[in-house]
Amino acid sequence: MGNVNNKVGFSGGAGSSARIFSRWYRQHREGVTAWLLLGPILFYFLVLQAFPVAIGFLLGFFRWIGVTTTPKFSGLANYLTFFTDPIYLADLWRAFYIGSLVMVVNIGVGFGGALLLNLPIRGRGVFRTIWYIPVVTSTVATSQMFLIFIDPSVGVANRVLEQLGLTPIVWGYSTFWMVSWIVIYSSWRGIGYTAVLWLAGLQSIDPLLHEAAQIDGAGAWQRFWHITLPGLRTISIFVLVTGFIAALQIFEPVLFISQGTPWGTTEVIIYRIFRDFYGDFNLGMAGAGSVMVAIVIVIFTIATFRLLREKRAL
Amino acid sequence: MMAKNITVRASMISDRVIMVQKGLKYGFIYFILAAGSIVFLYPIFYAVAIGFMTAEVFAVTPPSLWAIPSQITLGNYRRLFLGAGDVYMKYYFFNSFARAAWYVTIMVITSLVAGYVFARLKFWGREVIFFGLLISVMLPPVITMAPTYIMMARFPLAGGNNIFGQGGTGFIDTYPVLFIMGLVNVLGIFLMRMAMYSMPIELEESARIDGAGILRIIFQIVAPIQKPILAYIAITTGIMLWNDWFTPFIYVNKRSYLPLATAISKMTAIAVGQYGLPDWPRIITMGLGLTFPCLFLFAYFQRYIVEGLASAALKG
Repeated sequence: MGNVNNKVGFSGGAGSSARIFSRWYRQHREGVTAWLLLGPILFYFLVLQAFPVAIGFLLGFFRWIGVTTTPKFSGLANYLTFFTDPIYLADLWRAFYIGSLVMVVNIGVGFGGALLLNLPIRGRGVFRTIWYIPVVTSTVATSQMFLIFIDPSVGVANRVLEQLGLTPIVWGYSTFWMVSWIVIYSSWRGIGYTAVLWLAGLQSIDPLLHEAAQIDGAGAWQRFWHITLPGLRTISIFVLVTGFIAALQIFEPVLFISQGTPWGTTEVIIYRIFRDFYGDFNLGMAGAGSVMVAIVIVIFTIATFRLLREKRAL
Repeated sequence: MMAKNITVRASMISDRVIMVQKGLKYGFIYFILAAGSIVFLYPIFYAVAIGFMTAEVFAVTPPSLWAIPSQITLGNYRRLFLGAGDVYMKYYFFNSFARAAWYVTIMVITSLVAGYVFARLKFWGREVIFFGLLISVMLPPVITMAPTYIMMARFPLAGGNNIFGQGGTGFIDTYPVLFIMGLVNVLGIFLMRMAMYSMPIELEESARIDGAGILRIIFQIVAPIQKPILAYIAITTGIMLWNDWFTPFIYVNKRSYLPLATAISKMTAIAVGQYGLPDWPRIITMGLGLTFPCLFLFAYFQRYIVEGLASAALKG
């Protein structure tokens, strides 16, 4: 026994460290493999995806106009602008209400559509495909179609109004109609997505429950109320949370359809940040704006999960 | 006898009433589904019709619900498919395709490997790192818009920049900038990890006993079994990248670097100052060139998309 110990002791620096390493490796083999595989991915992620987030949080504290200029520390000046300039808070509010309108239409119509698409009728696969098609189209392509529909001279929307005996509307001068068209376009593109989510929820409900209830004499309405709706709990949380987060970040429909017109009354917060950044290169203000959006979204997400956890505990 | 006859007739009548009711109900359901389908497809049909018009014809055609062109011209479609009159068309298509293919490859591999590692291997810092990744998903993407631009413009030793990132223009308006940003798809990693939890571990263990290395296990045992979720990641990122006009819009200006979606966006009203008034039929036709590949892809892989979406929503 002692002999063996001696051997280890005398075997010299290089050999013993190699042995220690090999023993360490044998104990931590899994960790080493994991880090070898994950290391490059994480390194890339840290440098090109996480580091910009860190810059993003700092950007708001600087006065930085134009990429080539040197940033000057300006404390909370940009955040003060955010709260004192009426534009930003109004934009946040508009993003909230336009986004919420879109969300309400998507969730409502999507739910109705999902109920119908879930019925055992012939050709429902085709209908499902068609309803989902707008989701896979590009906003840049399809928003142009809606722009053509509301064009004052060649637009088909006014043509329909004329044929119905109504006076044509100059859509672009009316806040109400521009908001409506943004909502119509966003819903056109979003209903299929929500419908498929609801459909997944409906299909996750055990059909045996329905059968059993039917045997027990429950009507269609009772089954809907006591089986379908409770069964949709998980999916409705997902739809609502992701829907709200997406709603607050509504951007592309506004950019392509109204560009904030008329008179900036359809401008939303992300569009404002985009213009601060890409139009004016006011990087500090863009940073401050996006941090505020991030804070709103994170608070909302955490609050929802808190609420859900409390409910679950009850 | 009489009484029986009456009851039979009564039951026949009620049967007929039920049938009519049923017919009405189904007619109503079909009506709504068909109406919805028309609404969803109408803009696309309209676009196909407009594609047959020249800008002049389009401007003088009175608007109608059917948009039947008074004069059929194939100019727009010839430009789209054959590149007639637009030497850049082949670049647009190539750039779109190259971007989508590159991102799909990288994102599928990273999601597969990282998802597997997070699900199966124990290592120091696993929970903390995964939590950090999840937090990064929660933040709105807008927060990295300006910082990433600054970083690309000030990237050390790129595009004439010195080691401190000063002096040049960095990656702005270069070709590689289309391929180096946002390569790690955290949502994909998350989905993959979740899919791994519902897969029995015995297969991997028996492979390990047979002497398979970790890479062989990941790519030859796990990947084929997890094909549905990998397909979901591939298709969604592929469609997302094919449709992504925004990143190239900000970062590149040279026409031969533009993908198709960005080329369209540069012709629309948001870039009027740069490129003149929009030529609707041309924009619309190019939009069709952008839309149809996605439609075919979707029609073909629909099952994976719907299943993947369902699993993402129900388990997430």
